[in-house]
Amino acid sequence: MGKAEIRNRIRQLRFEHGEMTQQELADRVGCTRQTILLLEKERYVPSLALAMRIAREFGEEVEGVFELDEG
Amino acid sequence: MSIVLWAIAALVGGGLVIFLGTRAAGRSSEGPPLDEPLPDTPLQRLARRGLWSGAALTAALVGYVLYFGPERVQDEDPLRIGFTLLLVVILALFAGIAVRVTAWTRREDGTLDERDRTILASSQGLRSSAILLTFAVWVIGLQERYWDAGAVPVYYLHLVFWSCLVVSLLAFPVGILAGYRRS
Repeated sequence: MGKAEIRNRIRQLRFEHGEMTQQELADRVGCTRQTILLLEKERYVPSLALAMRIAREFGEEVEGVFELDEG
Repeated sequence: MSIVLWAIAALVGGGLVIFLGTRAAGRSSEGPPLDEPLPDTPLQRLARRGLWSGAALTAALVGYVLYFGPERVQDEDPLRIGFTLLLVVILALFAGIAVRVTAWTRREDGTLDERDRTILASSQGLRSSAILLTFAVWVIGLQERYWDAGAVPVYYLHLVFWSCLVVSLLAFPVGILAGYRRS
């Protein structure tokens, strides 16, 4: 099995939700702006709790925000 | 080699471990460079301020001991008080950082998030190596200098302890900053 990557739609969802800034999203889900930026660049894989908080913030299921890409 | 040079070697040795650890952490980063600068986290800003302030105070402390000599600093009350005051300032600086970080870890407002907590937990790795090397250089230096005498002046025990403590304190913010480079 190849190396799996976690893709996400956070950047797109931010813009679909009133062009929410990274800082606003970070404040709402309880993390730092740096973490949001790294998530958007797919350089950091969040914990399940953070993934669920982000998904809830956008009114989506976790699978609607994050996707497992098995290459 | 004079004992003063060994003392410098001890601190430089500890600093070298910290530096190499940081470099190694930087090399382990994966992926291409980011196309926009990363905003600093509160923990990162605190660690950076702590490191620069701590390094400046440590340099002042080393300069103080080198300028007056360890014997005079130990024997003359005004010089010993000056040395102690510098140490107290260093300890207060890092105590302040530790209290602040502890307060942040107890809050759930996002000042420290899950990534910061992981970095904080893994920031202790450099510490023991830096202390061991500092101590080892002191042992070699004191042994070389005082082998024939068969005894080491007692003030060196204080210097060994304080230098290991200062290296240990400096390793804390460096470990945090290295963690951010690594992750």
